[in-house]
Amino acid sequence: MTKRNYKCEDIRILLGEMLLGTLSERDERIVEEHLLECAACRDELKELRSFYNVIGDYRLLQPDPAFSKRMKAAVFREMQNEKRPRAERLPWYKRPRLVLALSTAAAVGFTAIVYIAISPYLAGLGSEPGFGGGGVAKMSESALPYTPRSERDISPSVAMGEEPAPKFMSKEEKSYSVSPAGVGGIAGERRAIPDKYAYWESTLGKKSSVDDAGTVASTSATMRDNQTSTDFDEEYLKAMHAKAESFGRSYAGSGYEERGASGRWGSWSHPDVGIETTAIGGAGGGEGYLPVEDDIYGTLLELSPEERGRVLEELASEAEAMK
Amino acid sequence: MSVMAAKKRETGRLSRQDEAELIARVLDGDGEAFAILIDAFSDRLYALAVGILRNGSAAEDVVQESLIKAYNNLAKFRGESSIYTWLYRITVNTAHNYIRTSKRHNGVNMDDVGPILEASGPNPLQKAAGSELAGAISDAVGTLPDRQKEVFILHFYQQLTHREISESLGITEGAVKANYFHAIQKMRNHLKKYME
Repeated sequence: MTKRNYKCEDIRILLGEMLLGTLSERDERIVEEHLLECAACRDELKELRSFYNVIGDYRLLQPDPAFSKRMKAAVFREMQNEKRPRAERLPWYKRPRLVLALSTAAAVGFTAIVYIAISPYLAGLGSEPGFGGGGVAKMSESALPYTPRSERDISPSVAMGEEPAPKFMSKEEKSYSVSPAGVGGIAGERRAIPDKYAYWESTLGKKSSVDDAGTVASTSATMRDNQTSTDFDEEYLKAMHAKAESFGRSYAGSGYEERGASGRWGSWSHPDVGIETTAIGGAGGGEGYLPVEDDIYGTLLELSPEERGRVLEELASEAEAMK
Repeated sequence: MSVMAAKKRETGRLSRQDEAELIARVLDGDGEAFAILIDAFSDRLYALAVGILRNGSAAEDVVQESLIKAYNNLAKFRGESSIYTWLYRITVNTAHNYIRTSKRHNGVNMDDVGPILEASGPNPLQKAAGSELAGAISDAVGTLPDRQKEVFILHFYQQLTHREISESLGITEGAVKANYFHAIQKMRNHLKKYME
């Protein structure tokens, strides 16, 4: 590519980096060659340098000298209260906080988190092992009344109450479907769940937005049944509650979302059932595992075939609405 | 240990090997190893949080919460990025969440914002003279959309590379470049009178 291929607007994106000294040698050479021939970009560089000189006289506010010590004290207090971050733990259903690891599926512009359970629904595979026929597993047999989020303790370290009642699955039943990118990802490749993980399923993708740089600015997702909503909107939570009730289920979840604007990392805690998840990826699809000990396998929820049909319809209409 | 601490003081960062060693020690129950990570990064995390929140006490809360989360979730850190970009990511997300919950619960008044900058020179007179401009720059940063603000702070004031920012924020390097460019354009426009 010759230097004539570079437009001023391409070069100007690089000027800031050049001033900060973070440009690659190759790009720096390209910029320098362009500057030799372009007076407008030279003026731009001059103005930018002036701007950098002004704002470069400052630095971000620094904490007081004892800050690090306070942080260490706070973490050490936590260390005394919490488990060590390693694997010597109670069975998964007895833990106060469980961890789910979600790995990335392909990212797309418009996204919603659509986890593993969705694909079989949409593909009409409702009778597949692991999704139907067997018993319905609930985290709690009792219906959990809706509580406004403001009245809940949503902190990640909230103490958990009753233990959930796990649904055990055989190894043969453990498989999952990875949805392709996109809302309500249809079909999907089925894979075996590694033995050390229990099957975990949920959820229903919902809402997303895109910022002016084309980045996914926010994404929210709602798990179904005894689940977590990651949407903070009370009205939305109420709607989810009503929807769960329409399935004859309780809506146990209040959400706790820490997802950043990218929609690619986040963690959730579920105050009612004591689940904390950390997600990496999530734009357009994902997969979830519930780490378990030894040969204990569990699933957090199951939907009946009738419920699946309704979920399928809703997802399809939501996916259509988001197109 | 002392060599590692010295490296941290020199560079503000640890090598990946040092990171891996520290993480292994923390997972093995060595709390002192996590203290080294805190010493290495807490000030930078605080500066980042202040940049986002414009509130010192809120920033302290956020960093504390972020470090606790990092500790509790360290076993899940897979070493695919540097530990500090992981910590940045946790801090950014925690700060966002802090803003949202504060607004919703009327807890901390997030409108109670202050400057995010101070003069970098040691001269007190220089610092006093620069306070107005520090406030103006802080205001200009405050007008940026969240993503542009984070990219600007991380790149300009915290000297993270585009790749590191990409890892920290979970966006592409292209998006980092674009956000930085737009941030600079808006900042220049906002601070025009100080440039002349």
